[in-house]
Amino acid sequence: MGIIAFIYVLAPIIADSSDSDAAAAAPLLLLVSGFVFYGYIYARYRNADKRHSHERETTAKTANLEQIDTFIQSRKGLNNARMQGANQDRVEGALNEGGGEGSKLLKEFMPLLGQGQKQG
Amino acid sequence: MSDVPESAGQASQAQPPPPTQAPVDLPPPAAQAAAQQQSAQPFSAPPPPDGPPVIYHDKSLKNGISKCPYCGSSDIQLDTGTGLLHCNYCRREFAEASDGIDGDISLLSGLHTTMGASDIAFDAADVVTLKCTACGAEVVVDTNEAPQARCHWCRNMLSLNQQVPNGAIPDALMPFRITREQARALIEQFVGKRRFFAHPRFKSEFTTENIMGVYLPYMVIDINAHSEFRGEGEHETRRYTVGSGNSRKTKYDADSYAVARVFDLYVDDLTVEASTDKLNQATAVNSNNVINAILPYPLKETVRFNANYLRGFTSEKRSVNRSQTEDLMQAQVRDIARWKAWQLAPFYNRGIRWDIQDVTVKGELWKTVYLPVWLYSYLQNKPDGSKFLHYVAVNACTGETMGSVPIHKPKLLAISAIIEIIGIVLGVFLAVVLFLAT
Repeated sequence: MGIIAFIYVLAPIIADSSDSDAAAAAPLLLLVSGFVFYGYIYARYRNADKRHSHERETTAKTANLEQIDTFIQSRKGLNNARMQGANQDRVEGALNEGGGEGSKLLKEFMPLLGQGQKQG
Repeated sequence: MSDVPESAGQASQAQPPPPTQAPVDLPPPAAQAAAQQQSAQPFSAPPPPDGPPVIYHDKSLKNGISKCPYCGSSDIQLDTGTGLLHCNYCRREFAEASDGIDGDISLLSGLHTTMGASDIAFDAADVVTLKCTACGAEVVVDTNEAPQARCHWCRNMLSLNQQVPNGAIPDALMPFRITREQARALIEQFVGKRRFFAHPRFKSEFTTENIMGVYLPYMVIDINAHSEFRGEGEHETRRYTVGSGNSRKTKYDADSYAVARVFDLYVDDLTVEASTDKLNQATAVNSNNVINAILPYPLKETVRFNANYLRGFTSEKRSVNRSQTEDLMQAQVRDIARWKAWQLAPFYNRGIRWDIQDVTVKGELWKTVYLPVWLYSYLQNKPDGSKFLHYVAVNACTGETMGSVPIHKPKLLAISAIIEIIGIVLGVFLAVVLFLAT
């Protein structure tokens, strides 16, 4: 079971990386594998990060839409896949604190490995 | 099937002969429709659901004896297999009417609350005295226990159906549809997948025989809002690799845009906890978040509150007022608006930075409902002397299950340490191989 969980955590990370990124990330992954495994199991048993995803699961309709999309500039050679300062998926109204020690540990490592952990 | 202490057979033996008065008249569908049209704006009663006959009340349900529409018996309880009320005397089934608190959200303006969502009088008595309409006896109902009590003289069941100042009676409820046996199977399946690292004491004590069917109180809110989001978004135009060997890096080119999304937002049945206990979801000290995680419910199928639905189940009284959850509601509406704004701008695949996020609530309607949960609970005594209450909760309508299982930390730490050691050895070996290869 432990090995399956370990593969479950690592497989999507490596699968989502490009070849060069995966090669560079593999030693790092292996160096923190025990911590990742602990965090994954803790999160799976305790489920402290689970909550009602009110922003997605609440029925809501939009109407009278006005939209503006004005080109500003092209940017070259950016280092991150995600826009700096992006906040379109921010959640303010979640009541849980987002996890106990295990899921916090997992959350700390996931960004290092290029994987954001989503709630819900 | 039965989740109540009395079986149908026992109840039938204890029940007096059927009353002689005629069953409650059910108005024809055309009359119902006409009655609904009269109060169509801005909020009107929805059409009655298809299927079983519906008890339609021109006025609110009264306190006192709530009778079977077919035989007049007051011995009525929920059949969790069908979600319908079941008469223990004539064995027919029927449903309560829809709560009728619904309408066109775009027409909603200002603040509206129902009777069930009005402020709690915290000094109000928990004990209510009802006069039995069959024999005239005074019967005491303790709302802390149940909104029903049996008349000690004529044995009729008396129900408290109208709102009382202590918050014990909501506007509506969702009947249980998942049976106890189904809930037990779901909980056992959930825990069964988490046994390996579960605490040995928990494993030895785990049983689903004592799971509880509980109605928990919630605020359900319709919101008419106006949203304005303005900021900057980026669209990826190219992804490529620069450098070679260990210095290879992925780079990105992107176009940047000024983005705005301005729209009206109609939120239907936003659901927030209406109990101070369940609103506390500090995961370091409780597992209430797993009860939150089994939301949502099919709230279009709620029925008007009828105490007969609670018979055999426990319920928790509402303990917060609208004003105490107003900020939470506002935050969640902003989240919904932000999510919608993102859905309306899929072109920006690198993300959007909203600099202006203005969500104005123009109209809101608050009502209270009881929602059904099957709950397994386990109190863990930790080595430091503290206690932690673990829940496994089942949404008694959809079957969605979520829970918290106590962990055997020494075992988890030992196996994690073994994996870490193996990982370090493999990691160093792989790093050396990669270094030599370049």
